This record gives sequence, C-alpha cells and structure tokens, in this order.
Amino acid sequence: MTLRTGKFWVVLPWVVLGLIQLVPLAAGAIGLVLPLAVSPASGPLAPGFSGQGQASAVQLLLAQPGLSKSVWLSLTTGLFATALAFAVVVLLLAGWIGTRTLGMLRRCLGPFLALPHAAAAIGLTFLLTPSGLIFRALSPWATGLDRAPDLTIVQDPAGLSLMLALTAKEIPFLLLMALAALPQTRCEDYLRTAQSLGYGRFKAFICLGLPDLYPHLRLPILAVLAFAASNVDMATILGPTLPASLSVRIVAWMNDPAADLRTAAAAGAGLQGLICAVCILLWLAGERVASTAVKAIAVDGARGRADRVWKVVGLSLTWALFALLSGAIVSIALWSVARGWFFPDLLPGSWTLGSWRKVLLQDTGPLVTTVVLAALSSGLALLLVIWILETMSRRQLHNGLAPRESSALRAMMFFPLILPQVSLLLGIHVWFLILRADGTFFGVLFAHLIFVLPYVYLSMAGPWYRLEPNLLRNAQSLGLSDSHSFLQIKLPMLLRPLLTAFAIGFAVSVAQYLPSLMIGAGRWPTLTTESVALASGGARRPAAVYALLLMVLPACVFILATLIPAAAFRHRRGMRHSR
Amino acid sequence: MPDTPQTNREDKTLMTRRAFLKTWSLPGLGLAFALMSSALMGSAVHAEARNWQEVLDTARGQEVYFHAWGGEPGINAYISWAAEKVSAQYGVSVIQVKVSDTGNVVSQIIGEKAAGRETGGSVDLVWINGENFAALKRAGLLAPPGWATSLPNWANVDVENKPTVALDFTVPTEGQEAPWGMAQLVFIHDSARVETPPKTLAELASCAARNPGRISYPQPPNFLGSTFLKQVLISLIKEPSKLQQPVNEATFDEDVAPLFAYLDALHPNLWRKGAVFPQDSAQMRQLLADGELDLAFSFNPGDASSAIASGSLPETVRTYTFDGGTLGNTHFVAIPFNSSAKEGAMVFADFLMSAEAQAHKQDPSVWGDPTVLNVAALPAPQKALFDALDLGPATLSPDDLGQVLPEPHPSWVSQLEKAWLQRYSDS
Repeated sequence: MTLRTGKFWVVLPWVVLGLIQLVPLAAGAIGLVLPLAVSPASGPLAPGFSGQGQASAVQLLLAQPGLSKSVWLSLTTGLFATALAFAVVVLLLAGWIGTRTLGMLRRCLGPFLALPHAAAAIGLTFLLTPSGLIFRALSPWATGLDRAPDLTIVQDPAGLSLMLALTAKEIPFLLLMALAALPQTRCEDYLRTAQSLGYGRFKAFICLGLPDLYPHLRLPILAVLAFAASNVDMATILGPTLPASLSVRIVAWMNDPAADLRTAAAAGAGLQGLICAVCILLWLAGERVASTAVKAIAVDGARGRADRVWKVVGLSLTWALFALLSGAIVSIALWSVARGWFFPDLLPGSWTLGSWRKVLLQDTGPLVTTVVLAALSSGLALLLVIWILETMSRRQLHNGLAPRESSALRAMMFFPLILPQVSLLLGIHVWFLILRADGTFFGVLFAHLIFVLPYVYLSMAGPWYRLEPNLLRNAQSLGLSDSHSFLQIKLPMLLRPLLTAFAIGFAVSVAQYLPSLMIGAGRWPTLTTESVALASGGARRPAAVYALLLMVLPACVFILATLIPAAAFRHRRGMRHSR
Repeated sequence: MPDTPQTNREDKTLMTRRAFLKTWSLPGLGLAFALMSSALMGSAVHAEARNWQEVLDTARGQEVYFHAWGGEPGINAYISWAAEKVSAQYGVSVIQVKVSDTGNVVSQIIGEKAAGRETGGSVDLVWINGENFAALKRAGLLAPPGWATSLPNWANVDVENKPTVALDFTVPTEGQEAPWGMAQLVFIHDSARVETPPKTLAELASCAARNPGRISYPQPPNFLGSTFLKQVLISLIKEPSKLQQPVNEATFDEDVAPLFAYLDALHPNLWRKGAVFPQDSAQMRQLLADGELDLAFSFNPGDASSAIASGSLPETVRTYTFDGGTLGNTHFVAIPFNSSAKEGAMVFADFLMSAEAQAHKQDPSVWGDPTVLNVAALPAPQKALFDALDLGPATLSPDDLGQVLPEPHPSWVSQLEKAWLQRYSDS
C-alpha cells in the first residue's frame, strides 16, 4: 500500500480529522442554537429543552439570581489567572534564561504538569482551609488556636483562591510551552548581544526576546485563558458557591429537573462562549497596548540594569507556587490513609488503608474505566496524528519541499482548546441524545478524543518536523520505499516522542471531567468525576484516594515512556538523549 | 363547588393527554403509536396480578442500572452488598450509577422521553422521593401504579405507623415507588465541646450570636439545606395548614416572611458570615470533625454512630432533635416508564424491603438507616435480626427521636429554594 496510488489515502486522514475536530464544533454550535430557537414542546428535536410558558431561553437565563456576579467571576478568574501565570513565566524567563536554574526548574515540571486540575484543587483545599495542613502545622504553638478559626480562605466570594490555584496550575504548562519554543527563536542570541551592550536581562528580554517568543505562546495562552474562564472541576471545589461561576452553574442547570433551567443552561452555554470571546478580545487588545509600551521602552535609552530584585521575585514566586502544589500533594497523601484526624493534630491520630482497599479492590469500576478510556483515546489519537503527519510529509517531499508544519492544521488543533468546554459539550450532548449515543462508552471515548487529539498533535508535531529530512532522503536513495523508511527509520527514531505524546494524551484523558460527566450520563464514572463529586461534598478520604490515583496513573505512564526508549536504545549511543 | 374542580381536573388530564400525543406523534405514525402505547400501558396496570414467580423468571439475567446518589461511601458499599445478594439469589445483576443529584436522573428521563426513547431507557431503577418523585409522577414518566404494593415484602411494611411510606411529601405513592428507608432531620454535636446544644430555633439563633461562626446549614438546593428551610418555616409560618397544600403564589411572600426574617438575623452570625455554606451533610460532618462547626445536620439518625465507627467523628459526638419535633420522610426506589429491566428492578426493590436487607441497613457500622418495616409484627427469626442490632453510642432510639413533622407539599421546596437563592446570592 503506498499513499501515492490514490487521492483517497491523502484525503482520508483529513476526513477523519474533520469528523473529530470540526463536526463536533459545528454540531456543538447547532446544538446550542437549537434549544434557543425551538418553541416550547416542539418535540424530539429539542430533547429535554422545551421550556414552559412563552419565556425565551435568554429571558430564563437573565431571570437567574446572581447572574451578573457569576459572569463577572468567570471574566475575572479567566483574565487574572492567565495574566498572573503569564507574568510569572515572563519574570522567570527574563531572569533565568540560559542559566542552570531554569534547567533545574524544567526537570521539576513533570509532576506539576501531570497533576490534574481536580486533584490540585482537592489538595489545595486540604492545605489551605482554616482546618487544613498549614493551620495545623502552626497550631496551637504559633497561632494559639485549639480550634480552627472562622476564616474565608477557599471558596471565597471573589474567587481569589480559585485564581491562585489556576495560576499555580498554568505556570508549569506555559513554562513548558515557552521552553519548547525557545530553540525555534533567536531569544538567547538577542539576549547575549543586548547584555554585551550593557543592557539588563529584563530590558533585553522584554524588548527583544519576548517579541520573538510571544507568537509561539499566543495559542497556548489563549487556550489557558478560555480554560480558566470556563473551568468547571476546579471551580466546583475551590470556587465560590453563592453564586458559583457561570460554567459551574450551567452544569447545575443542565442537571436540574425543571425544564426552565435546562433551557437557561443552553442560553448560558452561549453566554459562556461570549465570555471567552470577550476575554480573548481583551487579551488581544492588551497585546497591542503592551507592544506599544515595549516599543517605547526599547528606545528610552535606559539600560535597565537594576533588575536583580525582579530576578529574585520571579524565582521565589515560582518556587512558592510549586511549594503550594507540593503541599497539596502531601495533604492528599495524608488524607488518603487517615482515619481519625482532628484539629489541631498535624498528623492523623489513627491510620487506615480502608479507602485504598475500597478503590483498588472492591469498587474498581472508575479505575478501570479511566485507564481504558485514557489508553484507547490516546492510542487512537496517536495513530491518527502519525497518519496525518506522514501523509502531509510525503506529499511535501514528493513535491520537492522539505516537510513543514501546516499552520492551518495547528490552528485547527487549537480550536477545541480555545472554546469553552462546557458550551461545546452541551451542544454535542443534544446530538448524542438524538443519536442515542449518550451514556455509551463510545460516546464518552469520542468526547475524550476531541480533547486528547490536540495535545497529542502538539507534542508530536515538534519532534516530527525536527527529524532530519536528509536521513529519509538517504534511505530512499538507497532504495527504501516510503513505507519501509517510515517503519524502519522514522518510527524507531521517533520512539521517544511517540511514547511521550502517548503519555501526554493519557494524562489529558485521565484529567477530563466534563466529557465523562456530560456525555457519560453518569454511567461511566471515572477517577476525576468521582473525586470531584466526593470532594465538593466533604468525603475527604475517598476523594483523596481518587485524587492521588489521578496523579499516580499518568506518572506511571510517563515513567514507562522514559524507560522503554532507554531500554530499546541501550546499545545506541546517538539515541540516548532526547532532544 | 365540588363539581367544578372535578371538571377542571378532567380538562387538565385531557390537555396533558393531547400534549403527550403531540410530543409523541412522529409524522404519519401518531395515532397508531398512541393506540399502541396506551394498549401497552393498559396491560401493564395489571402487574399486580402477575405471578411473582413469573417476574423472578423474567428477571433472571437482567442488568439493572440503579441510579442512586453516590456521595456516601457507606451507602455505596451497602448497595454493592445488596447487589451481590440478588445476583447470587436471583441472577439479577445490579449496577449502581452514582449520581451527585437525583435531579440529574429526572432530567435524563425527561430528556429520553422527549427524544422518543420509549423503551430501553438508561435508568432502570432510581432512588427518589419528594419533588423528584412528584415531577416524574406528574409527567407520567414512571412505571404504571401498583407494582410496589404487589411485591411480596410489601406485606411487612409499616403502613399504619409510618404513613409517609405511602404518602411522599403529601403525594400518594399509589405503588409507583417502593419504600426503602426512613429519614428524620437530626442534629449532631460534640458533647465534649458543646454540653447543651440549642434545642429550639430561638436557642439556635442566640447560640450563634454568642459564638459567631460556628453554626451553618447546607446550601439550598441541597436537600438537607432545603429541609432546614422547611423546618424553620413549619415552626414559624402563621397558618401551618397551608403547607399541606400546593404553594399559593399570591400569598407566598407573606407566608415565608417570618422564615426570611429569622434567616436575615441569623446569617451575620453564621460560619463564614453566611458568605459560604457547606455543600452537603458529609461536608458538615467533616467540618464538625475539623472543629469548624458546632452542629452538623443529618437526615439519618444513625449517621453519627456510623461516623464514630469509621473513625471520622470523635467518640464524644451525640445526636439530638429539636423540642417540638423535626421534619421526617421516607425515601423510595422507583422504576421509570422506559426501564429496560422492569422485572429485575422489581426483584431488587423487593429485596431492599426484605427483613435481611433492612436489618443490615440499620446496622450503624453499615449505614444506620431506619427500617420501613413493622418490626414488632415480623416473624420471630426475622425480628431477631433487628433485636441483635447494636445501634451505637450516638443513635437515638425511635422513642427519643420525638415527633416527626410531615413534609410540606413538594411545590414549596422549589419556591423556597428560588426565594432563598434570589435573596442571598444577589446581595
């Protein structure tokens, strides 16, 4: 089978990709508009969404108490969390590019990247509440408290704890994206030149490095922005409750027995889309302002050398947030084996493995579902990505071009990440209901695939196009066919990034909350849905076990992804270190 | 006078029927469909007459998706235990679908109805009561009446002394749901910390004023939070008889004014000054264990003893109720109209009502949920199962639980929740 023989094989991967990426978008959009447009009781086309009376969906939405507060919360958490995370990453890069410290930070990123949002939120709650680990560590010797104080720390009405958690969780992601993009830029050269001319690191980075780097970061930042503004699992656990942010309320309305509220949910999903759009527009406007400011600073003549303070600030902020996440992980581990643990004891008074036994031995459904879903969705995504990349590369090679990443494809991949998940899924859910695919395993798998595929692509595309094309040309000039050189040269050389991409896809799937919840109709509980449900109540012990598994599972896969190439390449010195 | 409402009701039935047909008739198939479905429903009404052995035979091999609130690990474990039993005894496999809110299930069933899924529904049995039951019953989305009262173990249910087993929030169950357990609002306190807990609403308010930040209640629409609202309303409303009737929109604001006056005064002294509320009873219990709260609420008189047994509450916690009684009700299991395993669901519902299952359920180390059966009238070997139970240090005996206040009509709940949310989320 060669791909040259027919257009069919060239077109097919695009068709499949379109099915996974574009059809849900279109379906989601129509599914969202449908319930808004139909009149009450108009039957099967609007399952469960026919409202009572004559009120339109928008009117029903606007009648919800505290709506403006919810909208404001979504906007502010989205913008502030993203801006803060971005600011810390800029400080860090400006201060530490080219130093050993940054390399060390990079090696620490893994666990924080693999830490799912739900688990982070659960751990931070355990850590930060007035009866949490921090207050226990300080009581009673430093605080004089023998009872937990009545302080509003988590779930605060302004959403500050939610913003803090989102910031802490997004810094590793943005940092990774930046570090991955750096080699494609000339940042380091610029910085060296500017510094040799006597400019401070910060001034040099902001005026020369950042403008070069930023285009590579724009899409990841917008994805973070949309995520932060519409996140449900973290906001359910850490966010305010009276009222909650819009996305959390949409999910609650969707699940309400009153038809009015489900109609309002559809309008709410539209509003959520609008909020994300506003966030993105504000961010893009901010970019303009910032770029004008940078241009002004660049020519103001100052060398900006008194910047040591900022260097320290950037690093200490990062370490502080990483310490917070580490403390969260420790709290989770403690609660998973705690029996009686009363304030102000620093450690549990009695211990039990009962919660672990239940999850690992008795009630294994969520664990099995999570592993199978993650392995299948990530495996399918990887196959599809390779298929597409190989098809495109071959076409480019045969047209005499060096394989180059298609920017259209990259933008398309980011699409589902930039849209609010709750809106997209609500729209898709309507179609799943009509097709009777809701609550089926394949429905949930498909929903996972929509969100796993982009990450697998993004982590695969870089290494794929960095692969030396001459190697393949040489192979072919020695008589190897396309398929042979693909199977015998390309795949083995790409083993490490392939496994990493699989591990990333696996981790993304494990962390999915809404796709399992909304499309699974409660039939496919996963570690994430269970942990959020338990933690939003007060069932700390089982929630801790689930949260810990949420971290451990992807970590195991990541470890395998490093061990397998190490074993496979043990006799090949040139393949020992990944790039 | 008596004639007019009758005619009205018939009109309404006719309307619903018509609306039903309208929703249901796909082009060209409408009438045939309607005739068929009504014929099917007619035959199913005689479920009562069906031989139980026949039900058992059909049930063998069926998979029952039991949608039940899954927020309490102890209850989930009990459901797994019961599932193993019916699997071994009757070859019925029961799979618990853990839902965070039974409202989800109701909307799912409504959604399936609207999408035309007349059979093969995704919910085979649901743990339900109150407004959720009323909503499904009103919309005709439950299996036809009579199946629950046809179950063999129905004979042992204490219909006489526990009227709520057949009257769910004032709505007659008509055998469309099988009673599973009894619930009554109780309060849990740590006797080592608070010796004399507040036993009236006035004491609760003064206790919060003396010691701010240590009292709270779950956030409505959590059912326990809504229960607290109803408890306050029952005690303070000027004409309590109004609560047995559907809400009168015209006088609602006036009726609930004393409730909100009470809450307005209470909120500044609540935990987090009333800006944050616990989300459910499990969180309240956790906050009691943390020492953040002085009082936890529960709908299960055995809760505190179970928590002591599992080590999650200190051994000094005790349970009590208000002077003048607290709200109580029954929780049930119901079969939706499109259940794909009706017989299997009936077999499981019957097992849940058996003396074996009910006694195991009442064991505080298991769940601690009070029985719906008339224990005194049971045959000796089955009665012995209950006599052998050690209810634990913090469980009140049925006599100490005091008066059970009946639930108001379900329409009050949603109105109260709406009014509460309006008042406290916009401020």
